[in-house]
Amino acid sequence: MMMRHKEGKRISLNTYDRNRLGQIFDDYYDRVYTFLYFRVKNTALTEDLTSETFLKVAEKYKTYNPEKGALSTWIFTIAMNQLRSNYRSFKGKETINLEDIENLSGGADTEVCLEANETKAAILRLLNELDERQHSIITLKYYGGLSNKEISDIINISETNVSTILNRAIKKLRNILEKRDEFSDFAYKSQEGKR
Amino acid sequence: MSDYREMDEVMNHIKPLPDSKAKEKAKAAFLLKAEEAMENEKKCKPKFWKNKQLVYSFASGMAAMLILVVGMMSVLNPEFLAGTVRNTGYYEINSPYTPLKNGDVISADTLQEMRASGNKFKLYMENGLALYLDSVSDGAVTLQYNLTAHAALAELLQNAAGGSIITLKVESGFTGIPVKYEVDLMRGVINGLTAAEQQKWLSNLYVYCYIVDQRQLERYIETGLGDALVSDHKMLPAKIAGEVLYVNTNPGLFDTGKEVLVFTLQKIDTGSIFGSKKGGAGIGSGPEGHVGDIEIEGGNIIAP
Repeated sequence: MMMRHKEGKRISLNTYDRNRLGQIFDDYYDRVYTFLYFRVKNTALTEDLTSETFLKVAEKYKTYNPEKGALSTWIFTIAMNQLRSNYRSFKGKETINLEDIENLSGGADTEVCLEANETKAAILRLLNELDERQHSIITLKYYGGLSNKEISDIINISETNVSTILNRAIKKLRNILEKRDEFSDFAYKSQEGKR
Repeated sequence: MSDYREMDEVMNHIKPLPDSKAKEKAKAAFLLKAEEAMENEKKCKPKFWKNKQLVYSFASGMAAMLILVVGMMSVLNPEFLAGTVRNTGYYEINSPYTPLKNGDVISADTLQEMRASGNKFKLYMENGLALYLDSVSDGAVTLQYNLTAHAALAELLQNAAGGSIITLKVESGFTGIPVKYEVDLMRGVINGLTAAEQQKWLSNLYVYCYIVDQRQLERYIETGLGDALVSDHKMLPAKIAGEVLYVNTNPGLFDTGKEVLVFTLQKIDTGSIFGSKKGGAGIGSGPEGHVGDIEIEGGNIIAP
């Protein structure tokens, strides 16, 4: 990528930085997007927030210090900050429409897909039943792909605490799913769908 | 672990996929922003220099503050009083036990002793900060003295003393330590002398300085009895230069409370003047009246 300086001098990122930044974008965009999606539950807003997060990453890339923390921690901290600063714009407007649910990854078989969509909607509703912190930890864990240590750095709680909260949240989700007899079915159907 | 894996399965199947076009657009914006950030960083480099200069200014300011603080600490805490003594311009400061020269370092102990002596000093520290210990004024410490052209004494001694005699009574000054007096001869003292006598005093490089007991001197003037007025060892190095009379004093020899200094232009032959009834020494009966050479350095007199 090239751009022209105001004085006419051409400048560009060096190859290393370009490749590095491109790699960072490819590695983290989906993860950040998914994480943000489950927090704002709005596709357009998620795209905006993800884009803003990566613009910040680009802007502050030179200031990132690997000695202070993992890259993933740094990027998700920026995402969390974006979330907080845009809290007012999405709070109370979190809705997941049918189209969004269908777009969620799942089986290819129509019948299985339909059933799976119902389950997806149910899981999303269940996720909403978790408190703010549990929700953050679950989404950072499963959609951000972060380790407990990285989550603890972002949320500012101990790693043990993250593990405890995570276990409780999973049990809570599992209990709810089992009560609805959906958990085992979902796992089975998802396997079927993949075939 | 099993719970995690099962949850993984469940959660992965409700993972939303971003729109590929939106993603491409975001990537383009991302890289463009990185370019801009790079450009801004390059533009900001002069600012960095400015900041660096500010940092230097700040650092030098802090260093000056530090020197000032250390200087103030020096005044408050004798442990810090290890500055270099410079030519004081008026008196060279000596310690009671170890005479100091320019560039010498005064130890805290010496300084305490100097302070304890009750004298007034003005010290100059090497870093340019003047340190005053019981200084009488901001300027040079002034010696309080009474310098008199003593006609009566000169008459008694006839021409033995070179025609005229000047006496110096130190009213307040340095006691208990070796110090160098610097006395302005033009401050009225030679007004009582004839022009020829004045010329003699001002042209004499070396003069003779006798330490005389004040009461004995008064008795001598009164009665003409000058037996054993001074001893051989009661003499000081003295010199005249630039209308200034310089005298090196030593506390072991000169007691400002009891004694006066008698200056003569030539050595007094006490044998012919006073005689020696008891074989004791009279004025000038010592070896040479002129006790060693003295040097002048930077307006000050330096003892040999």
